[in-house]
Amino acid sequence: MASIAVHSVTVDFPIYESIRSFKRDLLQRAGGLIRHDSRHSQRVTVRSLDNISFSVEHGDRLGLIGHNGAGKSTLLRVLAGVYEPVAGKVVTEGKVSPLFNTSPGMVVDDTGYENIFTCGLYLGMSMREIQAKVNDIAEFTELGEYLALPVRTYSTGMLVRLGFAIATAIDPEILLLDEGLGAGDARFTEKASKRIDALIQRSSILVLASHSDGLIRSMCNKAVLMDQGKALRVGAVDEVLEAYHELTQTKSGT
Amino acid sequence: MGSNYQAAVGDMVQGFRNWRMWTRLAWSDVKGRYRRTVIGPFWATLSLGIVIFAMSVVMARLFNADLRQFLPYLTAGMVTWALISSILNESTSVFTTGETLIKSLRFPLSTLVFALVWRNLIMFAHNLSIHAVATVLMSVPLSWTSLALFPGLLLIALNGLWVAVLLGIFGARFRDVPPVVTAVLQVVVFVTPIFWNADQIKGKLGFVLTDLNVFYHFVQIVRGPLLGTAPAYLSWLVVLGVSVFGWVVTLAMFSRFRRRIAYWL
Repeated sequence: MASIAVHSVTVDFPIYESIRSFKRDLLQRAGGLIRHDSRHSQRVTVRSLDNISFSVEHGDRLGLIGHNGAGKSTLLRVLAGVYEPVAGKVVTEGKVSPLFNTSPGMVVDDTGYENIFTCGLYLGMSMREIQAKVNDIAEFTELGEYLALPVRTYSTGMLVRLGFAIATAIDPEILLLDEGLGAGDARFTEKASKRIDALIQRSSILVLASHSDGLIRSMCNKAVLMDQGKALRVGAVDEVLEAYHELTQTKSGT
Repeated sequence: MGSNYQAAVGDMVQGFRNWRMWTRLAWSDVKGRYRRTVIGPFWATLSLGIVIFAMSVVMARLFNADLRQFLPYLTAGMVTWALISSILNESTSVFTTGETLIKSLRFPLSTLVFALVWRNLIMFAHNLSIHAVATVLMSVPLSWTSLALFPGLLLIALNGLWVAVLLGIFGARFRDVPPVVTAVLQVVVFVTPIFWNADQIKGKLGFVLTDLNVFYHFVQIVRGPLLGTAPAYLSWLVVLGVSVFGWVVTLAMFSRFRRRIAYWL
């Protein structure tokens, strides 16, 4: 049984470069809170996640919703184990598959086929698993003989298709999705959404970050509203989305 | 503290088990650098070879040395130094160049370190052909002692691993580290007996530049076997000592800062 438990997680990012000017710049944005480290007065940190707690059970589809800079992506990366929180902890049961961009480790000088294996290994598949899936991946990309050519020669659309096909071939337990996982032209998008749906079906838990309420509504059963690094509301999708709209209105009102 | 230490060791062990990934990474790096050239990675070898052969002619005359002995001495030393210095140079950016991967996936960070050392061993194997040419040209006798090359290389690899982790951590946090290391290495190559022979500088200075110079011992454990001579026990001892010390320090640092590396990138 897969599960995620997030206990009062806090994440601070240290800012090292050209502190003064950067600080002024950051203060004008709607991002995390900027503060001075109490021990090192010189050090400036940005609080990206502030005391976040929630839990996700087997079968749950959790949507993270919020405006840009609310901390959605950082939270996904914490769940993925990329960032370990400065306070609090995350306990995950089950294999975590982060899908933040479609082509991690793509080598532009290698052929499409070689990259299927390279990226597949990065995504945590075994050689045998990849071998079993290589035809399915190749077919989905519709790249045909192009797969024997270096990826460098591909158009942007072709690259996206290849990366997407590889990334969505995994069998995830806990799937972490960033909405940026777009996919090429319109005809391809329909195919892509089917494939994404199948991927989500295979997963035991989905965590999806997005600022589109439509996406969250159609895919999730639980949601977390994020704002300035805080989890303002955790609960059922409708309730959280309502709070999101209120937040949007107050923000645009001022 | 204890769990951090376990996590650090676990990272190293899992990274090693991830050999499919790091051997693949290393090979694609080697191939990628000279893609679409006719002789591929041998370009690096060829340019190094030309430098060494040209230098050997001039320096043999300067030192009044016999080219028959000086050429193989120089090729063996330079090929070894190329291995050591490029591991050190690349170590400082091992985590910063892996930024995209580190930020988008979860994998043992040491995978990148194993790839770095493996890549340099592959390049060393290419460069070895320079020394092979010199060996044949000057008919250097090979002996069973030459087999000591393998433990020598193993020790260099073992030390390369901790060096890459340690310098990788420093390089990620302090971006001044890479140029500092490069600058220091440019000096080390001259003060270490690589272009010149250890017995050419005697007395106190000679003692400092050879026996007290860690780099000298590291060069010796590979250069000696390449020339068919056994390295001194002192060299083995120093290298073993540095290995143990280096790993202890590195594991402590890795335990302490492994979690922070992603934040520094």
